[in-house]
Amino acid sequence: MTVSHPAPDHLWSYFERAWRTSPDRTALFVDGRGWSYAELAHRALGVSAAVQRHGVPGPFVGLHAHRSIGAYAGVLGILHAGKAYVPLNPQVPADRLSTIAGLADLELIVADTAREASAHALAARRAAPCAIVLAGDTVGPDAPHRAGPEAYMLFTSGSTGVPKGVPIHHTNVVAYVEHLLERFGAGPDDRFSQTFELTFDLSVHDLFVCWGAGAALYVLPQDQLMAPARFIRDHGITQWFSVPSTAVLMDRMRLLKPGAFPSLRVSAFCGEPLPADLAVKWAAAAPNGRVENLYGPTEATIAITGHLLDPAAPKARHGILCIGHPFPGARVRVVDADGHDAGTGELWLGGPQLSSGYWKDPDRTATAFVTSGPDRERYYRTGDLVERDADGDLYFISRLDDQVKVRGHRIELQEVNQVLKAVSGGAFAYALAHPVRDGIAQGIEAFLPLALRSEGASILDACAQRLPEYMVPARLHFTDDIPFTTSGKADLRALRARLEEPARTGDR
Amino acid sequence: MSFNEVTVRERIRTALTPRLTEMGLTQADVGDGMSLTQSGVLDSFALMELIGRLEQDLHVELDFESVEPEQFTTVKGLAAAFIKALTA
Repeated sequence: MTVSHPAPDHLWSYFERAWRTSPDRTALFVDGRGWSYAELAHRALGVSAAVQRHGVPGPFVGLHAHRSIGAYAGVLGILHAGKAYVPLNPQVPADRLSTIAGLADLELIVADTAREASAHALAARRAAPCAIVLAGDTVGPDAPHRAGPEAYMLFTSGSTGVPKGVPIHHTNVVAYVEHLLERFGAGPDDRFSQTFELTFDLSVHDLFVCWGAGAALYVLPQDQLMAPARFIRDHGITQWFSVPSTAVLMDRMRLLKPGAFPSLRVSAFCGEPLPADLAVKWAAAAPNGRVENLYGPTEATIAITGHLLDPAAPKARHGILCIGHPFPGARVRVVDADGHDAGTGELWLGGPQLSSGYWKDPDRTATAFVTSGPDRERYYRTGDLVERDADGDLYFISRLDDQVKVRGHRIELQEVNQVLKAVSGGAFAYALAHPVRDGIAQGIEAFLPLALRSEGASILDACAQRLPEYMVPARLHFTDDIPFTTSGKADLRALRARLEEPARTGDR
Repeated sequence: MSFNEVTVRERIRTALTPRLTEMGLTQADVGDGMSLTQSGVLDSFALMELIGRLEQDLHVELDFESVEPEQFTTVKGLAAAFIKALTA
Protein backbone atom coordinates (compact mmCIF):
# COMPACT_ATOMS: atom_id res chain seq x y z
CA MET A 1 0.00 0.00 0.00
CA THR A 2 1.35 3.41 -0.82
CA VAL A 3 0.58 6.39 1.37
CA SER A 4 -0.26 9.43 -0.69
CA HIS A 5 -0.05 12.94 0.61
CA PRO A 6 -1.40 16.09 -0.99
CA ALA A 7 1.41 18.08 -2.62
CA PRO A 8 2.48 20.95 -0.37
CA ASP A 9 2.95 24.47 -1.70
CA HIS A 10 6.15 25.16 0.24
CA LEU A 11 9.36 23.14 0.80
CA TRP A 12 9.17 23.69 4.57
CA SER A 13 5.97 21.62 4.57
CA TYR A 14 7.89 18.49 3.44
CA PHE A 15 10.18 18.82 6.42
CA GLU A 16 7.38 19.71 8.82
CA ARG A 17 5.32 16.70 7.77
CA ALA A 18 8.16 14.32 8.66
CA TRP A 19 8.95 16.22 11.86
CA ARG A 20 5.33 16.00 13.11
CA THR A 21 5.01 12.33 12.09
CA SER A 22 8.29 11.04 13.54
CA PRO A 23 10.15 13.68 15.56
CA ASP A 24 12.70 11.21 16.94
CA ARG A 25 13.83 9.70 13.65
CA THR A 26 17.17 10.81 12.22
CA ALA A 27 16.83 13.69 9.76
CA LEU A 28 20.50 14.50 9.28
CA PHE A 29 23.94 13.02 9.86
CA VAL A 30 26.71 15.60 9.55
CA ASP A 31 30.15 16.14 11.12
CA GLY A 32 30.04 12.74 12.78
CA ARG A 33 26.71 13.04 14.59
CA GLY A 34 23.03 12.44 13.94
CA TRP A 35 20.24 15.01 14.39
CA SER A 36 16.63 13.97 14.86
CA TYR A 37 13.84 15.78 13.01
CA ALA A 38 12.92 17.52 16.28
CA GLU A 39 16.51 18.65 16.97
CA LEU A 40 17.01 19.94 13.44
CA ALA A 41 13.60 21.65 13.54
CA HIS A 42 14.54 23.56 16.69
CA ARG A 43 17.82 24.72 15.18
CA ALA A 44 15.96 25.78 12.02
CA LEU A 45 13.34 27.70 13.98
CA GLY A 46 16.16 29.50 15.80
CA VAL A 47 17.49 30.69 12.43
CA SER A 48 13.98 31.61 11.28
CA ALA A 49 13.33 33.72 14.38
CA ALA A 50 16.62 35.60 13.91
CA VAL A 51 15.98 36.15 10.19
CA GLN A 52 12.48 37.45 10.92
CA ARG A 53 13.81 39.81 13.61
CA HIS A 54 16.07 41.44 11.02
CA GLY A 55 13.07 41.96 8.74
CA VAL A 56 15.03 42.61 5.53
CA PRO A 57 12.79 43.77 2.69
CA GLY A 58 14.22 41.75 -0.24
CA PRO A 59 13.36 38.14 -1.04
CA PHE A 60 16.91 36.76 -0.61
CA VAL A 61 19.15 35.88 2.34
CA GLY A 62 22.76 34.69 1.86
CA LEU A 63 23.88 31.34 3.28
CA HIS A 64 27.61 31.15 4.02
CA ALA A 65 27.99 27.65 5.42
CA HIS A 66 29.47 24.33 4.41
CA ARG A 67 28.59 20.73 5.32
CA SER A 68 27.67 21.66 8.90
CA ILE A 69 24.54 21.65 11.07
CA GLY A 70 24.42 25.41 10.43
CA ALA A 71 24.19 24.85 6.66
CA TYR A 72 21.10 22.62 6.93
CA ALA A 73 19.42 24.54 9.76
CA GLY A 74 20.21 27.63 7.66
CA VAL A 75 18.41 26.36 4.52
CA LEU A 76 15.35 25.32 6.55
CA GLY A 77 15.32 28.42 8.76
CA ILE A 78 15.57 30.85 5.82
CA LEU A 79 12.72 29.04 4.03
CA HIS A 80 10.61 28.95 7.21
CA ALA A 81 11.06 32.72 7.54
CA GLY A 82 9.55 33.17 4.08
CA LYS A 83 12.86 34.08 2.44
CA ALA A 84 14.86 32.36 -0.31
CA TYR A 85 18.48 31.29 0.21
CA VAL A 86 21.43 32.27 -1.94
CA PRO A 87 24.32 29.86 -1.24
CA LEU A 88 27.65 31.65 -0.71
CA ASN A 89 30.00 28.65 -0.82
CA PRO A 90 33.09 29.28 1.35
CA GLN A 91 35.17 27.38 -1.22
CA VAL A 92 34.50 30.09 -3.82
CA PRO A 93 36.89 33.09 -3.89
CA ALA A 94 35.76 36.10 -1.81
CA ASP A 95 35.69 38.36 -4.89
CA ARG A 96 33.10 36.20 -6.58
CA LEU A 97 31.01 35.85 -3.41
CA SER A 98 31.07 39.61 -3.08
CA THR A 99 29.84 39.99 -6.68
CA ILE A 100 27.00 37.54 -6.00
CA ALA A 101 26.03 39.27 -2.72
CA GLY A 102 25.80 42.52 -4.68
CA LEU A 103 23.79 41.07 -7.56
CA ALA A 104 21.28 39.51 -5.12
CA ASP A 105 21.05 42.72 -3.04
CA LEU A 106 21.78 40.74 0.12
CA GLU A 107 21.20 42.59 3.39
CA LEU A 108 21.44 39.53 5.61
CA ILE A 109 23.79 36.54 5.61
CA VAL A 110 23.25 33.37 7.63
CA ALA A 111 26.60 31.74 8.45
CA ASP A 112 27.71 28.65 10.31
CA THR A 113 29.93 29.23 13.33
CA ALA A 114 33.10 28.21 11.46
CA ARG A 115 32.48 31.00 8.88
CA GLU A 116 31.75 33.87 11.25
CA ALA A 117 34.89 35.81 10.32
CA SER A 118 34.58 35.37 6.54
CA ALA A 119 30.86 36.24 6.73
CA HIS A 120 31.70 39.53 8.44
CA ALA A 121 34.40 40.21 5.86
CA LEU A 122 31.86 39.57 3.11
CA ALA A 123 29.26 41.82 4.75
CA ALA A 124 31.85 44.60 5.15
CA ARG A 125 32.37 44.63 1.38
CA ARG A 126 28.69 45.25 0.69
CA ALA A 127 27.79 48.80 -0.32
CA ALA A 128 24.50 48.50 1.62
CA PRO A 129 24.35 47.48 5.31
CA CYS A 130 24.45 43.71 5.68
CA ALA A 131 23.80 41.83 8.94
CA ILE A 132 24.98 38.37 10.04
CA VAL A 133 23.01 35.59 11.72
CA LEU A 134 24.94 32.61 13.10
CA ALA A 135 23.18 29.31 12.42
CA GLY A 136 23.30 26.04 14.24
CA ASP A 137 23.73 27.20 17.82
CA THR A 138 20.42 28.86 18.50
CA VAL A 139 17.35 26.86 19.36
CA GLY A 140 14.15 28.51 18.29
CA PRO A 141 11.37 30.16 20.06
CA ASP A 142 8.41 29.31 17.87
CA ALA A 143 8.57 31.80 15.05
CA PRO A 144 5.52 31.94 12.78
CA HIS A 145 5.91 30.24 9.41
CA ARG A 146 5.91 32.72 6.55
CA ALA A 147 5.66 31.74 2.90
CA GLY A 148 7.46 33.60 0.12
CA PRO A 149 7.30 32.52 -3.52
CA GLU A 150 11.06 32.04 -4.11
CA ALA A 151 12.93 29.11 -2.54
CA TYR A 152 16.50 29.76 -3.68
CA MET A 153 18.60 31.56 -6.24
CA LEU A 154 21.73 30.05 -7.76
CA PHE A 155 24.34 31.80 -9.85
CA THR A 156 25.68 30.16 -12.98
CA SER A 157 28.58 31.12 -15.18
CA GLY A 158 27.70 33.98 -17.57
CA SER A 159 29.29 34.51 -20.98
CA THR A 160 29.71 38.28 -20.39
CA GLY A 161 31.90 37.59 -17.35
CA VAL A 162 29.13 38.31 -14.83
CA PRO A 163 27.35 35.35 -13.15
CA LYS A 164 23.62 34.97 -13.88
CA GLY A 165 21.12 34.56 -11.02
CA VAL A 166 18.46 31.90 -11.52
CA PRO A 167 15.59 32.33 -9.00
CA ILE A 168 13.57 29.17 -8.38
CA HIS A 169 10.12 29.15 -6.79
CA HIS A 170 8.70 26.64 -4.31
CA THR A 171 6.16 25.57 -6.94
CA ASN A 172 9.03 24.73 -9.34
CA VAL A 173 10.70 22.46 -6.77
CA VAL A 174 7.48 20.83 -5.52
CA ALA A 175 6.72 19.69 -9.10
CA TYR A 176 10.13 18.00 -9.12
CA VAL A 177 10.01 16.50 -5.62
CA GLU A 178 6.52 15.03 -6.10
CA HIS A 179 7.68 13.12 -9.18
CA LEU A 180 10.96 11.95 -7.62
CA LEU A 181 9.33 10.68 -4.40
CA GLU A 182 7.25 8.39 -6.55
CA ARG A 183 9.85 7.55 -9.19
CA PHE A 184 12.49 6.52 -6.62
CA GLY A 185 9.95 4.97 -4.22
CA ALA A 186 11.53 6.95 -1.39
CA GLY A 187 10.38 6.19 2.17
CA PRO A 188 11.28 6.78 5.83
CA ASP A 189 13.77 3.88 5.94
CA ASP A 190 15.92 5.37 3.19
CA ARG A 191 19.35 6.86 3.82
CA PHE A 192 20.18 9.54 1.26
CA SER A 193 23.68 10.63 0.29
CA GLN A 194 24.48 14.34 0.27
CA THR A 195 27.37 14.85 -2.13
CA PHE A 196 26.43 18.06 -3.92
CA GLU A 197 27.45 21.57 -2.87
CA LEU A 198 24.51 23.85 -2.01
CA THR A 199 25.58 26.06 -4.95
CA PHE A 200 24.57 23.15 -7.21
CA ASP A 201 20.79 22.64 -7.43
CA LEU A 202 21.15 18.86 -7.34
CA SER A 203 21.66 19.38 -3.58
CA VAL A 204 17.99 20.41 -3.42
CA HIS A 205 17.12 16.87 -4.51
CA ASP A 206 19.26 15.47 -1.68
CA LEU A 207 17.60 17.63 0.98
CA PHE A 208 13.97 17.73 -0.03
CA VAL A 209 13.38 14.36 -1.68
CA CYS A 210 14.98 12.94 1.48
CA TRP A 211 12.98 14.98 3.99
CA GLY A 212 9.84 14.67 1.83
CA ALA A 213 10.17 10.91 2.34
CA GLY A 214 10.83 11.33 6.09
CA ALA A 215 14.26 9.75 5.49
CA ALA A 216 17.78 10.48 6.81
CA LEU A 217 20.31 12.66 4.98
CA TYR A 218 23.97 11.58 5.23
CA VAL A 219 26.37 14.42 4.43
CA LEU A 220 29.69 13.29 2.97
CA PRO A 221 32.67 15.03 4.58
CA GLN A 222 34.72 17.02 2.08
CA ASP A 223 37.69 14.65 2.23
CA GLN A 224 35.57 11.58 1.43
CA LEU A 225 33.85 12.94 -1.68
CA MET A 226 36.61 11.63 -3.91
CA ALA A 227 36.32 8.01 -2.75
CA PRO A 228 33.02 7.50 -0.94
CA ALA A 229 32.95 3.68 -1.09
CA ARG A 230 33.50 3.22 2.61
CA PHE A 231 31.00 5.96 3.49
CA ILE A 232 28.31 4.17 1.45
CA ARG A 233 29.00 0.89 3.24
CA ASP A 234 29.52 2.26 6.77
CA HIS A 235 26.22 4.15 6.71
CA GLY A 236 24.18 1.70 4.65
CA ILE A 237 23.28 4.38 2.10
CA THR A 238 20.21 3.36 0.08
CA GLN A 239 19.80 6.38 -2.24
CA TRP A 240 22.98 7.56 -3.97
CA PHE A 241 23.15 10.74 -6.09
CA SER A 242 26.33 12.25 -7.54
CA VAL A 243 28.03 13.50 -10.68
CA PRO A 244 29.35 10.74 -12.97
CA SER A 245 32.90 12.03 -12.28
CA THR A 246 32.68 10.53 -8.80
CA ALA A 247 31.97 7.13 -10.34
CA VAL A 248 34.86 7.61 -12.80
CA LEU A 249 37.28 8.21 -9.91
CA MET A 250 35.91 5.26 -7.93
CA ASP A 251 36.35 3.07 -10.99
CA ARG A 252 39.98 4.17 -11.36
CA MET A 253 40.51 3.23 -7.72
CA ARG A 254 39.08 -0.23 -8.49
CA LEU A 255 36.28 0.41 -5.98
CA LEU A 256 33.41 -0.60 -8.30
CA LYS A 257 33.69 -4.34 -7.64
CA PRO A 258 30.63 -6.52 -8.30
CA GLY A 259 28.39 -6.56 -5.24
CA ALA A 260 30.40 -3.85 -3.45
CA PHE A 261 27.34 -1.81 -2.45
CA PRO A 262 24.47 -4.16 -1.53
CA SER A 263 22.60 -1.44 0.43
CA LEU A 264 21.93 0.80 -2.59
CA ARG A 265 18.33 0.69 -3.88
CA VAL A 266 18.66 3.72 -6.14
CA SER A 267 21.81 5.18 -7.70
CA ALA A 268 21.23 8.38 -9.65
CA PHE A 269 23.67 10.44 -11.68
CA CYS A 270 23.29 13.92 -13.11
CA GLY A 271 25.31 16.98 -14.08
CA GLU A 272 27.42 15.62 -16.94
CA PRO A 273 27.34 12.87 -19.56
CA LEU A 274 27.19 9.36 -18.06
CA PRO A 275 29.34 6.81 -19.95
CA ALA A 276 27.21 3.69 -20.58
CA ASP A 277 29.94 1.20 -19.60
CA LEU A 278 30.48 3.04 -16.32
CA ALA A 279 26.73 2.90 -15.57
CA VAL A 280 26.73 -0.85 -16.25
CA LYS A 281 29.73 -1.32 -13.96
CA TRP A 282 28.00 0.67 -11.21
CA ALA A 283 24.86 -1.46 -11.65
CA ALA A 284 26.95 -4.59 -11.01
CA ALA A 285 28.51 -2.98 -7.93
CA ALA A 286 25.02 -2.13 -6.63
CA PRO A 287 23.14 -5.32 -7.60
CA ASN A 288 20.08 -4.71 -5.41
CA GLY A 289 19.21 -1.38 -6.92
CA ARG A 290 18.50 0.56 -10.08
CA VAL A 291 20.66 3.11 -11.89
CA GLU A 292 19.02 6.30 -13.15
CA ASN A 293 20.52 8.94 -15.43
CA LEU A 294 18.92 12.36 -14.87
CA TYR A 295 19.30 15.50 -16.98
CA GLY A 296 18.32 19.12 -16.52
CA PRO A 297 19.61 22.69 -16.36
CA THR A 298 19.31 24.97 -13.29
CA GLU A 299 16.74 27.05 -15.23
CA ALA A 300 14.36 24.06 -15.28
CA THR A 301 14.93 23.06 -11.62
CA ILE A 302 17.27 20.20 -10.72
CA ALA A 303 16.43 17.65 -13.45
CA ILE A 304 13.63 17.29 -15.95
CA THR A 305 14.32 14.09 -17.91
CA GLY A 306 15.40 10.67 -16.71
CA HIS A 307 16.35 7.23 -17.94
CA LEU A 308 16.32 3.95 -16.05
CA LEU A 309 19.35 1.88 -17.09
CA ASP A 310 18.84 -1.60 -18.48
CA PRO A 311 22.27 -3.07 -17.69
CA ALA A 312 21.73 -5.89 -20.20
CA ALA A 313 20.99 -3.47 -23.04
CA PRO A 314 22.07 0.10 -22.25
CA LYS A 315 20.67 2.73 -24.64
CA ALA A 316 23.57 4.93 -25.67
CA ARG A 317 25.02 7.06 -28.47
CA HIS A 318 28.80 7.28 -28.83
CA GLY A 319 29.13 5.46 -25.52
CA ILE A 320 27.07 8.05 -23.59
CA LEU A 321 23.89 6.84 -21.88
CA CYS A 322 20.61 8.35 -23.06
CA ILE A 323 18.88 10.96 -20.90
CA GLY A 324 15.47 9.40 -21.43
CA HIS A 325 12.00 10.90 -21.31
CA PRO A 326 10.73 14.18 -19.85
CA PHE A 327 9.14 13.95 -16.39
CA PRO A 328 5.31 14.03 -16.22
CA GLY A 329 4.07 17.58 -16.79
CA ALA A 330 7.31 18.71 -18.44
CA ARG A 331 7.20 19.80 -22.06
CA VAL A 332 10.06 19.31 -24.47
CA ARG A 333 10.66 20.34 -28.03
CA VAL A 334 13.60 19.41 -30.23
CA VAL A 335 14.00 22.37 -32.55
CA ASP A 336 16.16 22.72 -35.66
CA ALA A 337 17.95 25.89 -36.82
CA ASP A 338 14.82 27.06 -38.67
CA GLY A 339 12.66 26.78 -35.55
CA HIS A 340 10.88 23.59 -36.65
CA ASP A 341 10.40 20.45 -34.59
CA ALA A 342 12.97 17.90 -35.67
CA GLY A 343 14.62 14.60 -34.73
CA THR A 344 17.90 16.35 -33.96
CA GLY A 345 18.20 19.92 -32.71
CA GLU A 346 18.27 22.21 -29.71
CA LEU A 347 16.38 20.98 -26.64
CA TRP A 348 13.68 23.38 -25.43
CA LEU A 349 12.07 22.82 -22.03
CA GLY A 350 8.73 23.96 -20.63
CA GLY A 351 6.29 23.16 -17.84
CA PRO A 352 5.95 23.70 -14.09
CA GLN A 353 9.67 23.41 -13.30
CA LEU A 354 10.62 26.41 -15.45
CA SER A 355 12.25 29.42 -13.74
CA SER A 356 10.69 32.84 -14.20
CA GLY A 357 13.97 33.99 -15.83
CA TYR A 358 17.30 35.55 -14.88
CA TRP A 359 17.35 37.86 -11.88
CA LYS A 360 17.17 41.51 -12.94
CA ASP A 361 18.32 40.65 -16.46
CA PRO A 362 15.46 41.10 -18.93
CA ASP A 363 17.78 40.94 -21.97
CA ARG A 364 19.28 37.56 -21.23
CA THR A 365 15.87 36.33 -20.05
CA ALA A 366 14.28 37.34 -23.38
CA THR A 367 17.02 35.53 -25.31
CA ALA A 368 16.85 32.27 -23.36
CA PHE A 369 13.14 32.08 -22.45
CA VAL A 370 10.80 32.20 -25.43
CA THR A 371 7.10 31.77 -26.00
CA SER A 372 6.50 29.84 -29.16
CA GLY A 373 5.17 26.79 -30.90
CA PRO A 374 1.58 25.94 -31.75
CA ASP A 375 0.74 25.77 -28.01
CA ARG A 376 2.14 29.29 -27.25
CA GLU A 377 3.96 27.67 -24.32
CA ARG A 378 6.91 29.27 -22.52
CA TYR A 379 10.18 27.43 -23.18
CA TYR A 380 13.77 27.63 -21.99
CA ARG A 381 16.29 27.18 -24.79
CA THR A 382 18.94 24.91 -23.23
CA GLY A 383 21.68 25.37 -25.83
CA ASP A 384 22.04 21.57 -25.72
CA LEU A 385 22.04 19.70 -29.01
CA VAL A 386 20.02 16.49 -28.62
CA GLU A 387 18.65 13.65 -30.70
CA ARG A 388 15.30 11.94 -30.13
CA ASP A 389 14.87 8.29 -31.14
CA ALA A 390 11.75 6.40 -32.24
CA ASP A 391 10.92 5.55 -28.58
CA GLY A 392 10.98 9.25 -27.67
CA ASP A 393 14.21 8.83 -25.71
CA LEU A 394 16.56 11.82 -25.78
CA TYR A 395 20.34 11.70 -26.28
CA PHE A 396 22.64 14.58 -25.39
CA ILE A 397 25.08 15.17 -28.26
CA SER A 398 26.95 18.41 -27.53
CA ARG A 399 26.59 22.07 -26.65
CA LEU A 400 25.61 24.57 -29.32
CA ASP A 401 27.78 27.29 -27.73
CA ASP A 402 30.90 27.78 -25.62
CA GLN A 403 29.48 26.28 -22.44
CA VAL A 404 31.32 23.27 -21.05
CA LYS A 405 30.96 21.17 -17.92
CA VAL A 406 33.78 20.26 -15.59
CA ARG A 407 32.87 17.82 -12.84
CA GLY A 408 29.24 18.85 -13.29
CA HIS A 409 29.86 22.59 -13.04
CA ARG A 410 28.59 24.76 -15.87
CA ILE A 411 31.31 26.96 -17.29
CA GLU A 412 30.96 29.62 -19.98
CA LEU A 413 34.36 29.62 -21.66
CA GLN A 414 33.77 33.28 -22.51
CA GLU A 415 33.73 34.07 -18.79
CA VAL A 416 37.11 32.34 -18.34
CA ASN A 417 38.44 34.25 -21.37
CA GLN A 418 37.26 37.58 -19.96
CA VAL A 419 38.99 36.97 -16.64
CA LEU A 420 42.17 35.74 -18.32
CA LYS A 421 42.32 38.88 -20.47
CA ALA A 422 41.60 41.13 -17.50
CA VAL A 423 44.27 39.66 -15.22
CA SER A 424 46.95 39.19 -17.90
CA GLY A 425 46.38 42.32 -19.98
CA GLY A 426 46.80 40.05 -23.01
CA ALA A 427 45.17 40.81 -26.34
CA PHE A 428 43.43 37.45 -26.48
CA ALA A 429 42.59 34.40 -24.41
CA TYR A 430 41.08 31.18 -25.71
CA ALA A 431 39.99 28.64 -23.10
CA LEU A 432 38.74 25.18 -23.91
CA ALA A 433 37.81 22.04 -22.03
CA HIS A 434 40.68 19.55 -21.99
CA PRO A 435 41.26 16.70 -21.57
CA VAL A 436 37.88 15.14 -22.41
CA ARG A 437 37.72 11.44 -21.63
CA ASP A 438 34.62 9.30 -22.32
CA GLY A 439 32.65 12.51 -22.93
CA ILE A 440 33.60 13.96 -19.52
CA ALA A 441 35.73 17.12 -19.43
CA GLN A 442 38.37 16.99 -16.73
CA GLY A 443 39.56 20.59 -16.74
CA ILE A 444 40.18 23.84 -18.59
CA GLU A 445 43.29 24.80 -20.57
CA ALA A 446 43.86 28.14 -22.28
CA PHE A 447 45.93 29.85 -24.98
CA LEU A 448 47.50 33.27 -24.32
CA PRO A 449 49.93 35.55 -26.22
CA LEU A 450 53.57 34.40 -26.30
CA ALA A 451 54.77 37.64 -24.66
CA LEU A 452 53.11 36.52 -21.39
CA ARG A 453 54.97 33.22 -21.19
CA SER A 454 57.03 34.16 -18.12
CA GLU A 455 53.92 35.24 -16.19
CA GLY A 456 52.00 31.97 -16.21
CA ALA A 457 52.15 31.34 -12.46
CA SER A 458 51.00 34.85 -11.52
CA ILE A 459 48.18 34.74 -14.12
CA LEU A 460 46.92 31.47 -12.67
CA ASP A 461 47.21 32.88 -9.18
CA ALA A 462 45.16 35.96 -10.15
CA CYS A 463 42.53 33.71 -11.78
CA ALA A 464 42.25 31.69 -8.55
CA GLN A 465 41.41 34.93 -6.71
CA ARG A 466 38.48 35.57 -9.02
CA LEU A 467 37.16 32.25 -10.24
CA PRO A 468 36.00 29.09 -8.49
CA GLU A 469 38.60 26.34 -8.55
CA TYR A 470 36.86 24.37 -11.33
CA MET A 471 37.03 27.40 -13.68
CA VAL A 472 40.75 28.11 -13.20
CA PRO A 473 42.78 26.71 -16.14
CA ALA A 474 44.91 23.71 -15.21
CA ARG A 475 47.44 24.71 -17.86
CA LEU A 476 48.30 27.74 -19.98
CA HIS A 477 49.81 27.62 -23.46
CA PHE A 478 51.62 30.63 -24.90
CA THR A 479 51.63 31.24 -28.63
CA ASP A 480 51.00 33.97 -31.17
CA ASP A 481 50.08 31.42 -33.77
CA ILE A 482 46.28 31.19 -33.40
CA PRO A 483 44.43 29.44 -36.25
CA PHE A 484 41.22 31.11 -37.45
CA THR A 485 38.16 29.70 -39.18
CA THR A 486 36.88 31.17 -42.42
CA SER A 487 34.36 33.20 -40.44
CA GLY A 488 37.20 34.89 -38.57
CA LYS A 489 36.72 33.15 -35.22
CA ALA A 490 39.52 31.37 -33.40
CA ASP A 491 39.50 27.76 -34.58
CA LEU A 492 39.02 25.96 -31.27
CA ARG A 493 39.01 22.60 -33.01
CA ALA A 494 42.49 23.24 -34.38
CA LEU A 495 43.66 24.49 -30.98
CA ARG A 496 42.27 21.37 -29.38
CA ALA A 497 44.14 19.24 -31.90
CA ARG A 498 47.38 20.86 -30.74
CA LEU A 499 46.66 19.79 -27.18
CA GLU A 500 46.38 16.20 -28.38
CA GLU A 501 49.94 16.39 -29.79
CA PRO A 502 52.96 15.56 -27.64
CA ALA A 503 54.47 18.42 -25.62
CA ARG A 504 55.15 21.57 -27.65
CA THR A 505 57.56 24.30 -26.85
CA GLY A 506 56.06 27.43 -25.39
CA ASP A 507 53.84 25.51 -23.00
CA ARG A 508 54.01 25.70 -19.27
CA MET B 1 65.56 -1.93 -5.22
CA SER B 2 64.06 -1.51 -1.81
CA PHE B 3 61.92 1.41 -0.78
CA ASN B 4 61.38 3.15 2.47
CA GLU B 5 59.14 6.03 3.49
CA VAL B 6 61.83 8.60 2.57
CA THR B 7 62.56 7.25 -0.91
CA VAL B 8 58.87 6.91 -1.71
CA ARG B 9 58.18 10.48 -0.59
CA GLU B 10 61.01 11.56 -2.90
CA ARG B 11 59.37 9.70 -5.81
CA ILE B 12 56.07 11.43 -5.09
CA ARG B 13 57.73 14.83 -4.87
CA THR B 14 59.60 14.25 -8.13
CA ALA B 15 56.32 13.35 -9.82
CA LEU B 16 54.77 16.54 -8.43
CA THR B 17 57.56 18.85 -9.63
CA PRO B 18 56.16 19.78 -13.07
CA ARG B 19 52.82 20.78 -11.52
CA LEU B 20 54.48 22.83 -8.78
CA THR B 21 56.61 24.66 -11.35
CA GLU B 22 53.46 25.42 -13.34
CA MET B 23 51.88 26.95 -10.27
CA GLY B 24 54.97 28.96 -9.32
CA LEU B 25 55.44 26.86 -6.17
CA THR B 26 58.50 25.12 -4.77
CA GLN B 27 58.75 21.83 -2.88
CA ALA B 28 59.06 23.86 0.32
CA ASP B 29 55.51 25.19 -0.21
CA VAL B 30 54.05 21.69 0.03
CA GLY B 31 54.18 20.14 3.49
CA ASP B 32 54.12 16.37 3.84
CA GLY B 33 50.77 16.51 5.61
CA MET B 34 49.11 19.14 3.38
CA SER B 35 46.08 18.05 1.33
CA LEU B 36 47.08 18.28 -2.33
CA THR B 37 43.45 18.52 -3.43
CA GLN B 38 42.07 20.96 -0.86
CA SER B 39 45.08 23.26 -1.32
CA GLY B 40 44.36 23.38 -5.07
CA VAL B 41 47.70 21.86 -6.15
CA LEU B 42 45.85 19.02 -7.88
CA ASP B 43 42.23 18.36 -8.68
CA SER B 44 40.91 14.89 -8.01
CA PHE B 45 41.50 13.69 -11.59
CA ALA B 46 45.08 14.98 -11.60
CA LEU B 47 45.68 13.25 -8.27
CA MET B 48 44.46 9.95 -9.75
CA GLU B 49 46.77 10.46 -12.76
CA LEU B 50 49.66 10.99 -10.36
CA ILE B 51 48.81 7.88 -8.37
CA GLY B 52 48.47 5.89 -11.59
CA ARG B 53 51.95 6.98 -12.73
CA LEU B 54 53.46 6.10 -9.35
CA GLU B 55 51.75 2.70 -9.44
CA GLN B 56 53.37 1.99 -12.83
CA ASP B 57 56.69 3.31 -11.61
CA LEU B 58 56.74 1.22 -8.48
CA HIS B 59 55.05 -1.83 -10.06
CA VAL B 60 52.41 -2.00 -7.37
CA GLU B 61 48.68 -1.28 -6.99
CA LEU B 62 47.28 0.62 -4.03
CA ASP B 63 44.46 -1.01 -2.12
CA PHE B 64 41.95 1.85 -2.07
CA GLU B 65 39.57 -0.26 0.00
CA SER B 66 41.89 -0.08 2.98
CA VAL B 67 43.21 3.48 2.57
CA GLU B 68 41.20 6.24 4.25
CA PRO B 69 40.19 8.68 1.49
CA GLU B 70 41.63 11.67 3.35
CA GLN B 71 44.96 9.82 3.60
CA PHE B 72 45.93 9.60 -0.05
CA THR B 73 45.61 13.32 -0.68
CA THR B 74 48.84 14.07 1.24
CA VAL B 75 52.45 13.21 0.37
CA LYS B 76 52.81 11.55 3.75
CA GLY B 77 49.65 9.48 3.50
CA LEU B 78 50.36 8.44 -0.08
CA ALA B 79 53.87 7.34 0.83
CA ALA B 80 52.52 5.26 3.70
CA ALA B 81 49.93 3.66 1.41
CA PHE B 82 52.61 2.77 -1.15
CA ILE B 83 54.91 1.34 1.53
CA LYS B 84 52.03 -0.77 2.80
CA ALA B 85 51.33 -2.03 -0.73
CA LEU B 86 55.04 -2.69 -1.42
CA THR B 87 55.52 -4.70 1.74
CA ALA B 88 52.22 -6.58 1.55
